[in-house]
Amino acid sequence: MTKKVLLSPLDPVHDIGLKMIKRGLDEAGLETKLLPPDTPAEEIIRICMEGSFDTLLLSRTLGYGVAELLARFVDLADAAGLRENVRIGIGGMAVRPEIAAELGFDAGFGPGTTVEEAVAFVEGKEYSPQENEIKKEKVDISSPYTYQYKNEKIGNLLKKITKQIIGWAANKTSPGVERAKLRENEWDYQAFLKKEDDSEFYKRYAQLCDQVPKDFYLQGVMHPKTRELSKDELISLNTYINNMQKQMRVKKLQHTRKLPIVWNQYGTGCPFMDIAHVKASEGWGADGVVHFDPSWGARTEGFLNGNLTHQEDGTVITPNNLYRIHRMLEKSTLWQVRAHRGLNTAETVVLAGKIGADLTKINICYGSLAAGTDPARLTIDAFHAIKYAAKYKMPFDVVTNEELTGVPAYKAFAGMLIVADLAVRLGAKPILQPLFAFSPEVMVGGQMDDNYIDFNAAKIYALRSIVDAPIWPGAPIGFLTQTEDRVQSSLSTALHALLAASLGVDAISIASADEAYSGGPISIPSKIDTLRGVEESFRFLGLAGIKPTENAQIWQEQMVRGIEKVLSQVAEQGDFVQSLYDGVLGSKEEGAFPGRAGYNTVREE
Amino acid sequence: MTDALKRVIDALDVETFLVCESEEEGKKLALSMMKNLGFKDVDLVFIEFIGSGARIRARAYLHRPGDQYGWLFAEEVKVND
Amino acid sequence: MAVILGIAGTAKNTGKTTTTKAIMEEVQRDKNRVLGLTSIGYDGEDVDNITGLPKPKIEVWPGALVAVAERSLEVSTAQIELLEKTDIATPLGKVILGRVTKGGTLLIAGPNKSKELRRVLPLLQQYGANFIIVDGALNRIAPMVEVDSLIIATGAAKTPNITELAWETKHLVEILQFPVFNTPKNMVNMGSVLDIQAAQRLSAFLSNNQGVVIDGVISSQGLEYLIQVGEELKGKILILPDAIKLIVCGEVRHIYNLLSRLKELGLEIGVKKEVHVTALTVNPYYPQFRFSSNDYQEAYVDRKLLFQTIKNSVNIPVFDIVEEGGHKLYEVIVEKGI
Repeated sequence: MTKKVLLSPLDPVHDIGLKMIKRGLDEAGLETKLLPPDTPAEEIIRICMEGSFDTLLLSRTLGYGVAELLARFVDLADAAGLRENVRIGIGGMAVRPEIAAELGFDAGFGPGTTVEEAVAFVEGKEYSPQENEIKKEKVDISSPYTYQYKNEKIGNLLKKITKQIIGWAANKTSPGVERAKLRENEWDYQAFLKKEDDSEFYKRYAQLCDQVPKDFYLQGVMHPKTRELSKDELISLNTYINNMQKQMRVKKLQHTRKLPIVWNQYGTGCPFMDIAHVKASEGWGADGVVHFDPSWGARTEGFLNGNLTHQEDGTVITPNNLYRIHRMLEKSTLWQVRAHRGLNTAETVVLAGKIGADLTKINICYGSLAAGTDPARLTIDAFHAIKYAAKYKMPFDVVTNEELTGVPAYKAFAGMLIVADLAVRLGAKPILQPLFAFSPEVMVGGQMDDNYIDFNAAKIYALRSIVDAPIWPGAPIGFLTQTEDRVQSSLSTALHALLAASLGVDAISIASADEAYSGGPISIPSKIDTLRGVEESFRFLGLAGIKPTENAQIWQEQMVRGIEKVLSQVAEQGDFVQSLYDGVLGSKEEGAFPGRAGYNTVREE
Repeated sequence: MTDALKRVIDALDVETFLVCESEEEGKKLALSMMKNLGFKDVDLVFIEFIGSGARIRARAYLHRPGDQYGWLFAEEVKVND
Repeated sequence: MAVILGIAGTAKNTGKTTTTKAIMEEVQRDKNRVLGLTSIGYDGEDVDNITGLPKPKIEVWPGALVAVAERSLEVSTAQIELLEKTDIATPLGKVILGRVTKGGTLLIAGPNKSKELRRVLPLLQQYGANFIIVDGALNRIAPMVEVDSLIIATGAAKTPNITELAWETKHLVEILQFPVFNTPKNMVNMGSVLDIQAAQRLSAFLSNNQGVVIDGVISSQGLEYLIQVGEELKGKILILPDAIKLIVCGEVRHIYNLLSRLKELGLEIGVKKEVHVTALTVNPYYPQFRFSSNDYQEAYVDRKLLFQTIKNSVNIPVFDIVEEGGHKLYEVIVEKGI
């Protein structure tokens, strides 16, 4: 039997909520009747009884004296016998279950009540929020793409360049590559979980490390900036997580769109605080979280081990730390462990792959031109890292952060496309990561004097005209547009997210509202600020769009021509690594300096 | 009211994240935190609880419209470094 | 035999919880009594749901039986052994029957309508409760038709004007004491009278018959219509299920005036089932709404004046619980309540 629902707004004006619920109930196939606002209580009760309704839904905003009025309604309904067969629900601002109970209703619906909730009540099913929890699933943003070149000229140049790289890499290795190999072949994650003895492994491993990890493994000396978390801390953490996970739920930010997925980074230095950050990110709607390791990790050969906390700019990569963070992630949360830029790139990918990361992050040009790693060393380590990424089926993004030092976008893109092409040839799934940033190039060139839209749009148009590949602007979007003011900062992030959605990109990384503050670690409220901002911007945009001016087109064409020019030079030179040293992909004048870490550590096998 | 608080034009908002088990608990904690901080006229402007805790914006009014405003009469504030 | 006691308020903050607590203390002292506790609302929170002002907390002791919504246990410190889970749904989950195993505070939210209270009361008795307290909610009274004995808490929170409150209370008690009629033969039965059409039918039935039994309520509009009919009502009989059905139809003074007019016109109004109003409690406290800050503050009227005025206006015992505690009230309940 179809349930009959009578809806009656007691409020003279606020009957919108009830109209929305009515629409939902109608769509669910229920028979409904909506009374005009301000129908007298006796009238509502009479209609409800005479029309044999099963459910009565009222709406009323609570305010001064309203509780007594509603209670009197309930009393009258009860005395009239209506409640023998009819269930009554109340909805409205400030209505909470406790108040509904006090007023005598069968159910109370506050702001944010879903139609599912109302239907469940009407149909007499127990409403459990878990059932109606947002079902989030991991999205593989690389899967729809073919990596086919639309710009044939660029495709051919890239083929020539990456063929040379593959040839160059064939007979080379490095301590980083050797550690990765050892980790890949001799370290078993299941054995680690069972706490099997791994001293033999670490004895051999230590031989491939710098002094700090070597001292740690062979003599038990702690890194000066780290401490081991105590047993008490670890036990309490487990209790905290167990309690929290029972009531954990997640938001979805994209409103009517599927993309872009939204990434948050974490890397407070402490795996415990990281977990708190991750849970807030997940709760407030981030689809993925990125593990940030400290910068010294990129300049030190080898990883440490154990439950280590640290108090600087990232969280130390150790099997224990990654394991601990991984196991408390929600099932729907994507996890990226970044490997890019340093001496542990290849091993990071192996470790991340074994522990269960969904994505990693690998690049060559940024790491060797702006992050301090020797070009030859990073090329060979990244080459192997890419192969491991392919093996562990982890797509990875290729960043273009060298733009931040002053390298123009087209040059950074040329470098990114080389790494992406290499990745495709090695069977991996690269994701292009152009910056949405107020970069030195535009500060000088004036491309953002009028707006932040055109130049960022030009980047997406340019990449799309070259290759069919996933695009993930970052990292974070709006970089260098944000100030210390949280409203300005959140709004800037939200507006860049709006642009990203409008351009149809696959993912974005967003900053917290204290991105521009440098006096200490970022805070969870600041993280939530931008997630809420982005949520609202997606709500605002829906499936509509933003229209750039004709400049976007002009700059797109300039960028593509610039990329072609740079790739021609690299191809002509016939030595990718040498091109990096020579500044073809970013020169000293542009703030790009070939790194020194790992210099002279590449050897032929 | 300390001298510096006299200079608060109307209200002081505390924005933070409290680890708690429910929105109810978050509300109670937020209000008791504000009272512990020594404020009397306190309220909760906003709370959103998800999973591990609640994002809150708690408020203390130092001067409601019509009050005698401390900042109208405030002497120079001695700042202790 | 078990005492089934309801505690209803004429408004919010008239001292229901204080009265409930006072009686509970007496029940706890009385070794022959096993408490059964439930509520038709939501009681025991720290601060009032609506005014935001602090409230007395309800505490239970081991052995007491309770019928409360599942989710109210989450915020209680008392420990409860689950005896039975009913299918009675409330906004705070299903109602469960339980026995207190460790004393502490208890939030009581329970079956909030007559139909459900009717099911829960025998269950509490089955598990051994012989003194059942049904805590009221706000100004709601309708489910109290299920109790055997009713305490009404009133006070300045209803209105701080003591004279007005005295009149109101007097009229309330008088309506609740409407006489019980044995239903004579050749009466006509009909459902609730909620609109003019129904009132017309009612008046036609009255004209053509000895009287009418309304199985439900009659709205104030219905009473007004009957007054217009006038003279023809003389000698006719109107019977309602109980006096609470008269109370819920509007402001007490308005209803009282209408009923008085009808009596003057010669209509005999009675009920099938008596409501035993055992006593009144009065409370000088009231939350004063401040429009300037959109909140409430505590305020009081003259305690002695309030007590005396109310006492003089009704024919049942009146207590000031805060002043004299619950002992005398308890004696009255036990004595009257079988």
